[in-house]
Amino acid sequence: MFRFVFGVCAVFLSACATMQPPLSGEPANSLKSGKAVVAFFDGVEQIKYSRDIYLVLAVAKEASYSTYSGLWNSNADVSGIHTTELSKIGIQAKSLYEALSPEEIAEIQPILKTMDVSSRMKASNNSNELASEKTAPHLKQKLKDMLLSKGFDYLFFITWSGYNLDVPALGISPRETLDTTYSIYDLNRDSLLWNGSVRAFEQVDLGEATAKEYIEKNDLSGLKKEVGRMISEKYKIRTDHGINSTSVGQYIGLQDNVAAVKQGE
Amino acid sequence: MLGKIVKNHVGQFAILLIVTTFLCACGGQSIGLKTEFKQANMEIGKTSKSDIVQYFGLPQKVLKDDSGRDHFFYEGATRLVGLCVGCGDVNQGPGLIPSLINQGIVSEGAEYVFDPSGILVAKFESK
Repeated sequence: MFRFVFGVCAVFLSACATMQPPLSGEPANSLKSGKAVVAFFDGVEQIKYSRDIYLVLAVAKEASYSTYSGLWNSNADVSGIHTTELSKIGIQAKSLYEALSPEEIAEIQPILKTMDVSSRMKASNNSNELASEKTAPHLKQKLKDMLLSKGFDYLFFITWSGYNLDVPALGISPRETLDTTYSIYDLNRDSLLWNGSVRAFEQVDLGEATAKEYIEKNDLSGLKKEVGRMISEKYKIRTDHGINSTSVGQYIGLQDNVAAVKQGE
Repeated sequence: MLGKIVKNHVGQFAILLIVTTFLCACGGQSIGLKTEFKQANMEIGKTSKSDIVQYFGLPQKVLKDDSGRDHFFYEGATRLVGLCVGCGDVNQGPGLIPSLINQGIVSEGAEYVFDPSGILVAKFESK
């Protein structure tokens, strides 16, 4: 029975995070000692709200999408959040939006767009093929040259599948999810160093507000707060009943995996 | 015959009624999509983009036309994306007929057009 439960949990957890094994040894040390630029690209620019409606003998799910395209510069703000968190775990990180001038950013924006699967799916007729892509996109020469000329050794290219807020039925707390994909490029070697996707999920207290009010009022203050909280929490190693969660740093190999260290002792 | 059944099972019916009432009240918080487009009375030449966003929240779609005007599209209802009767998986598709009915209501939304300075210059609200 225990094996069955363990197996089910393993399958469930593996569905939450698909990625390469953590970096170790020289690549991990070089990543920590080199200069990294952090570029978040939002190809979604959309919030998904969903809600279960209990109809006694049936359950319905309703959804609504809101777009903040042109109303929030998520690329700069979220790059800043990731930069802060990566700095805390020992990366010499700088946001792309601080490292480059607005003209330079405008110049490379189309390149970042072609690297983002969500953006290409919007423009493609064959979205299924793109959705099943297993490898990170190739780094464009122009982008690489620009970043190398600024003295950067690594690029953290970060994308997401958008912010989702779900309100279940029967008084269960609303929950939010965010799937973030990290592609770390070694600019000097022109190669992909690490690639992986991490899911963050949290409960959220809407108070008396509706989902849209809570997230969108006061210039999207709720959205900005929740996105910042979810990203920051995913970089922390949290402990519950003596068991550690896996942080972004551990997934990449920038932080020791406490459980693995103990096992190896 | 029916009266006899009801009489014999009055206790169960009462419990069923209480549970049903309880479950009906457990819809939880709403998404909060605002759809009172006409009542909002947005004024051409006066209302700004931020006024509209403050009132209705974010739009469902934004387009920029060749003249630099922003078009904000608001849907008339939430989308029905799942429905199940007597089952546990609400992520199943709702079926063709409910989808078509829902799509019709969703389409009955509004379109607000803003000039490059962000002032409302045209509006198209469902009648």
